[in-house]
Amino acid sequence: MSRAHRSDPTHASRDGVLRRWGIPVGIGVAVAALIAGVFWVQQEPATTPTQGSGGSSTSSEQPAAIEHPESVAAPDLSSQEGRDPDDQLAEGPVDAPVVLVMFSDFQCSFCAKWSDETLPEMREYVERGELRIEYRDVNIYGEDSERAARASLAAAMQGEHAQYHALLFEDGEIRSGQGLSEESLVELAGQIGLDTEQFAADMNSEQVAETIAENAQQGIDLGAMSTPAFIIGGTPTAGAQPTEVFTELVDKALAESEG
Amino acid sequence: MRRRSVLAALPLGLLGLSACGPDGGGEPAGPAPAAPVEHPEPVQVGELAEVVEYTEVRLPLEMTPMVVVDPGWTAVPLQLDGIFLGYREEEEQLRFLAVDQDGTVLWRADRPLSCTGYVLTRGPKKTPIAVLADLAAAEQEGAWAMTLTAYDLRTAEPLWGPVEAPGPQAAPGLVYAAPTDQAMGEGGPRTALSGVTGEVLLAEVDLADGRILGEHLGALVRTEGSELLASGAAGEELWRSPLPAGVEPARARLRGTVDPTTSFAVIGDQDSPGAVIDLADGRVIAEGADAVARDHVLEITVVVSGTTVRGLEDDGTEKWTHEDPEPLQLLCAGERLAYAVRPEEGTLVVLDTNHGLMVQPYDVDLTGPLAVPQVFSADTAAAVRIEEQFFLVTTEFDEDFGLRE
Repeated sequence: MSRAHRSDPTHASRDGVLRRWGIPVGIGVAVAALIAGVFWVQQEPATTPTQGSGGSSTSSEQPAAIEHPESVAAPDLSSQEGRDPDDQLAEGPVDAPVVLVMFSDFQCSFCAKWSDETLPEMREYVERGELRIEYRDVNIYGEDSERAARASLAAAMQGEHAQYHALLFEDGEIRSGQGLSEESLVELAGQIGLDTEQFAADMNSEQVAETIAENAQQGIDLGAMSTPAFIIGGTPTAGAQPTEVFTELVDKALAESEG
Repeated sequence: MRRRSVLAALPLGLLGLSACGPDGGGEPAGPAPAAPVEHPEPVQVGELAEVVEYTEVRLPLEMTPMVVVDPGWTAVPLQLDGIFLGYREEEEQLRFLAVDQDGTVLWRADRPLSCTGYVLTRGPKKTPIAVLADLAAAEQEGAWAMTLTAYDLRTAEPLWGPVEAPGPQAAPGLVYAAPTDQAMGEGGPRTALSGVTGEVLLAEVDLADGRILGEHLGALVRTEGSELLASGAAGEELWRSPLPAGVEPARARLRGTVDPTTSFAVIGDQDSPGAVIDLADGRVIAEGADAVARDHVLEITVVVSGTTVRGLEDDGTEKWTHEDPEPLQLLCAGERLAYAVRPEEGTLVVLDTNHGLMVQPYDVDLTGPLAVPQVFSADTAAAVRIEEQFFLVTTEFDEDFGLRE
């Protein structure tokens, strides 16, 4: 029996979202697992592997036994950094030594928690010119998330992304479904003094929809089906871990960037 | 279904001795060959190997719904036609265990501790056979001679032998050479045996200008001048082609093992990348290769050359490339993933064979050693290594999978 036709099992993620472990289309289940709430959580340092057995085919031409690895190598995802000077969903210098890409969803409670607790500390690095943050909304929770993502870009187009983003995650909480209706989102824009007419037009524009769809696709292509997920200095990590985990990762990436 | 816990790994005393005895290739010299076992004849088993509790194996996620068994192997097994053969090192002997990809232990056979070398190839009527080494009293008093016996891989029926081996195994397949005083166990002139009869098929001393590179599923691969050629069991020529560019005839070799599911082999020399050749017909699959593996699910051939990994379509089109910081050691490919090791970093590199992206296929919520695939069958059964144990991920779906907590 080949396994090529096995049925798709499912498994609940930490966020309570069902995620598929089964036969993938495209990148595959392995990549889906990549950000399934446990997206390359901090790598344990590789220790000296144990000596492998000799194997059975041992002619003088056989290669030396391959050591047994103890952990999985994390990829270098630096290529996923936009560093686009026109990117309105980014904070910090385009040429910052370290980029943090955040894959998020406006209905993800852990994303709200991270934005409330950890983002302020990350912004200290931004202020020092050491870090650039690029926001990518994957909108895995559907239409309301996607609308909120478009709204955040509309706010960004008026120079108020950070403030609007903070309102959507106020006090580390997510807004309810009604709180993400178009009316509510426009009203929220008014609260921070944005041109609400322009805001509504931008939020519903084709260009904004396209940008948000592209950003979401980037996350989906990487398997970011559980949020929040991050790429810090090219290294993926997942989950709203304690702030010190992120400061350590950024510090490490900064040290590496200095050679 | 019987289940049991994973036991602590057995220590491995002997490392890679060819066939039998310390003169087979390599260093450090091992102990003197052990005496023959009392009952070398294979014993039919026909029972499911012990099932391993799913909570005790940290598998790539794609494999988690399948039944995993522990045949007790302590070295990486070989595979042919969906049957895996490996051995367990016991206190006084080796116990070979042949296991079908559905997890059924087909047969077992005991051999002296020093007889770790064995070959899977084709015998009469293309039957898959296992050729096991043994020891027999030699003419010289107190010495042992190495013998070879072939068994039907599925039924363990004896097919030929015991025949005296020309020496330790010297190249992939049924290729042997008498030991010499040269360093690194470099043997003398090679002799290839027939998988059909066990008789000598070809001896290097009879070649005017050529070397035997290996035997694979009944095909004998050798050089003739600057050409590469393969001949069949009756000596008939199967194909002939120029040696890969840059490979000196005197230094040509089959690098690593040859995948029986594809017959793809890397032919090169000691120091530089070679070419991937299909030993079935002599086709060049890829140039500049250190190692090759095949993912049968997506039908992608994975070729490693130093730090570069390429995914090739059947027509040779390069579907993707991956550039790694280190020269990689390729383990295997299967079920949409390719597995390689970064030797310096000591980590496992896993690439999806569709795009060549690095992935993390293990649930990192779990702790414990990784179960790392070593050998796949064409039907995606896999021998996986967990520290010093080797389990089999079978082709059987675990009916209790949906009930797991």
